[in-house]
Amino acid sequence: MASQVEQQSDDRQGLDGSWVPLEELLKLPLFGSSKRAFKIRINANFAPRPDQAEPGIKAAVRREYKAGEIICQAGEYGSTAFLLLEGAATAFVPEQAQAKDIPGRSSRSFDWMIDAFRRRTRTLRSDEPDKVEIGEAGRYATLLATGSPPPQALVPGDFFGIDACINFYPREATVRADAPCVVVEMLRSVLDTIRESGTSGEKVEENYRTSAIRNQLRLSPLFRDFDDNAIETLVSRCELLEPDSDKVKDGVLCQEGEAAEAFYLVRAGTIKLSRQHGGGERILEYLGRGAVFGLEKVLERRRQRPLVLACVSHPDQFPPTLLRNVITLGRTDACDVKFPREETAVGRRHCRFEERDGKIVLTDLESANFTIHNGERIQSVVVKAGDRITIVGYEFVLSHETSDPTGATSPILRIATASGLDSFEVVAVDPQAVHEAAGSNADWMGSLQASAQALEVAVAREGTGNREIVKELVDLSLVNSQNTLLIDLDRCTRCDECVKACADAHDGVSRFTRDGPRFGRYLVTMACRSCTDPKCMIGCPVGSIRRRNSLEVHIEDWCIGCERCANQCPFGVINMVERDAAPMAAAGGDAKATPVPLAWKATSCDLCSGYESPNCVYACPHDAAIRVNPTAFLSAADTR
Amino acid sequence: MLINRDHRVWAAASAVITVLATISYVVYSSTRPYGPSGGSWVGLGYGVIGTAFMLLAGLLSVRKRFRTRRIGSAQLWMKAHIWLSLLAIPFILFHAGFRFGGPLSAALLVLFLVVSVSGLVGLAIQQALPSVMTTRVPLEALHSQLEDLHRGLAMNAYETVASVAGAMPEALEESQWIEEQTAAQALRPGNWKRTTREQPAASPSPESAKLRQVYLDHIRPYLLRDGMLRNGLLKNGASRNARPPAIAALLPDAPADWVPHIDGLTAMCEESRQFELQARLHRRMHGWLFVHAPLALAVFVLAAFHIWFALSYKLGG
Repeated sequence: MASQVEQQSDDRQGLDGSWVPLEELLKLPLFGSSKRAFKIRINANFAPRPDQAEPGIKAAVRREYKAGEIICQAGEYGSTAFLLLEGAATAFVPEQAQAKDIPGRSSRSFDWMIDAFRRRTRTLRSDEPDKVEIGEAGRYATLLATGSPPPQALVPGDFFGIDACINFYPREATVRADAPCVVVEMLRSVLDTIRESGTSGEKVEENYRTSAIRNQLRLSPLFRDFDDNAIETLVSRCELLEPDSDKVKDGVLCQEGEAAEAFYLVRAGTIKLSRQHGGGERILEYLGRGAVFGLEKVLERRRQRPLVLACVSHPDQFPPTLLRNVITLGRTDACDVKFPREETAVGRRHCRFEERDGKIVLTDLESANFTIHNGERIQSVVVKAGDRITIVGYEFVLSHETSDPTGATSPILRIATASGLDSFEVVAVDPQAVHEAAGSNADWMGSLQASAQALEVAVAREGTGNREIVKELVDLSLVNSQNTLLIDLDRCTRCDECVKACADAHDGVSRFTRDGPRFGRYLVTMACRSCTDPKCMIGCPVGSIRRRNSLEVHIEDWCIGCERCANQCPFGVINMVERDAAPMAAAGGDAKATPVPLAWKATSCDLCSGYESPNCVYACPHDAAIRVNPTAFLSAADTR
Repeated sequence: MLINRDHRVWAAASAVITVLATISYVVYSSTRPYGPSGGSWVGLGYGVIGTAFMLLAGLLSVRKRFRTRRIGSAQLWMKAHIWLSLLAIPFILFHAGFRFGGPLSAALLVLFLVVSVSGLVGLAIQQALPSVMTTRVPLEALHSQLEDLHRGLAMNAYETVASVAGAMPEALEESQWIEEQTAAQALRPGNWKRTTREQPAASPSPESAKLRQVYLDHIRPYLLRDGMLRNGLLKNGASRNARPPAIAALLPDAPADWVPHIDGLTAMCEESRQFELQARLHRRMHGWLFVHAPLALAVFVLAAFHIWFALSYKLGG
């Protein structure tokens, strides 16, 4: 098969390179504090087989690099972390990480197409939706890419590559050896073991959090003028929030109407901004990596000061009333502004103020003696400061409040609720800390506020279109998908050639099902979606499900068949299949994680690794099967 | 949808070749005092080219056996199949001189024309029906699973009715299927989905007799695909969201807690109707191949004989 790319060896068990035995790992300072727990976990999953000098799975390997060699590259989907043992290296963010093509389709311009065929043809956006962008939230990525953090010197004992290993995002930085280096490269399962074990785990966690916050601040245009000292001051005052953080309740980062304090930089995941509307919720925006939100306090945009209703004819009888939510005027006890019971000319429920879409509306409740607004009888009217309301002999005036009736300073309120839709990482920045970090440098604060304003304008401008489409994409959990197999049902003759081709390429077992939800005329098949946030990879006891250096999710042959990934995949696209032999039988395995016979193996779409393009697409005679980034493609496509 | 704008190059090339071949045929036939002949060198040329087009078009079926081989995408082969087959028609007719000739060549020509027409019919069907299926069968399922899904609906309907009206000995098949399913699920490994089913009501209320009767008289035969009763309950093209009259008749006397059950039964009937429609459309979409493919093979066999005899005669004579 001349055109077929040479397939990676399937019999490889673990990482390439020379194995670091457990005893040697335990000598390293990082692993010292939790020897017992660490040993138990590692032995359970990676112990050498009795007849072999090396383990069944090489979970940690030693590598050596010469000065100038690249240890890992920005943009790669590596799912391993590194520990520098000897030498020196530099981590730096290149000017522009290169986007990678998704195999299976190239974009073309169909602008000229004949009207008669428009309904039947697929339109693609001109900006190449089939490409994966580094920094998935496209429009923010452009705002994001205003600069690179300065290179960071790495010394022995430093961990790097943790973000790609934990979050499965492309590597953010390239690491180059400055001197001959020795590193230990490890699978996520080893890293997880360290993270969960004693003080070493805490150290790694702290290291990761600090580094994540620092990088996010450095990458944000908000802080482009801040010097290193200011950033370091700020890093210590910021917080990295995740779904299980104390400050996050049921995925909600901040709630509409509550006092605004911090603002947020999205590092990973998808955040939904919404407002209460009527009895429901109005979606304002979905935010991705690189986005900033919660800038109310930074911009010092005070909430629209509420109106106060003051009675000028009987000031002693009616204290000023703040018009919030619903305020009813009348004679009954249930009214908020209660008239004397003997004042029978005033209705029992005479009129009502209520907030609608941010405006205060006065409505007459069919009173016998009317409600007069600025001298005119009204049924319903939007009121503003300075308006005069007359109810029988009572004269009221509306004015803006200067402070709360209690005398407390009115806080700046959140204008929207922000909630995470998946596993997110958000950096919470305290504006007070920003002020302190900026010190007396007014230019920095001015620059920050200008950038914040620009971001807000960009969101307002770009956030108006395609909201319905985005909602549908969110409902189908497609926003986190990077590469999905769609089938154009208007073209598909249901011949199942795609399924047969998939089975042909994978030992007779298809890795996807030609079934699933629809998006317009497109079928979203049950095939691996190459999620930005692959839940399937979390907690694999042997690190066999991972990304190598590209987008696709691989389940390596050293899978022990524990089903954890299959159970965690939200789309049910990982299937357990039997295999002939159980090469890992002697490896033991985590007793809790391997309740089924070892003859099972998890399988998932690997985008036909080893072939130039996915076979499902290649074998479709009708051009109905396509592999695309669904968010980009379906936002632009005519899906009717 | 087979033909779209991506075919424009093939369509243009085919049109040009057809025009050139027609011009050459007109010139050729006007210079032959006894009319065109397949035995002449020019006539043989038409035959060779037409047969080559047929052979190349026929290779699609071979290509489909090597799906993962990088020997040109399936789309390319499909385009070649369609347009070379169409191109073969004028060349074969020019070769025959628009005459049937002897018994063998007449049979060959007739078969060839039948294959061509069946292919064109298939092309038209596959051009139109995918979008019809997309629109009219929103609950489309995997074709290979339709029988199982029908059975599942029958079981679900039985479960729904039995939970109100008690076990029904008349619906023996359904209760047996449920037992088999429960037993099979117990043997499956952990990752398989398990269905928990509601038990039949132990002491059904007297009013439930009506529901039971409607189920046994209308719903059950419908879901079990009894053709006689099928159209009586829910006709294709009828309002999809409306309850079938037999089911709707239950509503006036039905207690409030039956309404979800009645809605569930309506949904099951609708799903069954869509599966039936899907099966019918699927048969139409692919049924023509049962004529096209074997006859195409027969054309190749007869063509081989035809070539053998013709060459023997030409070279020998």
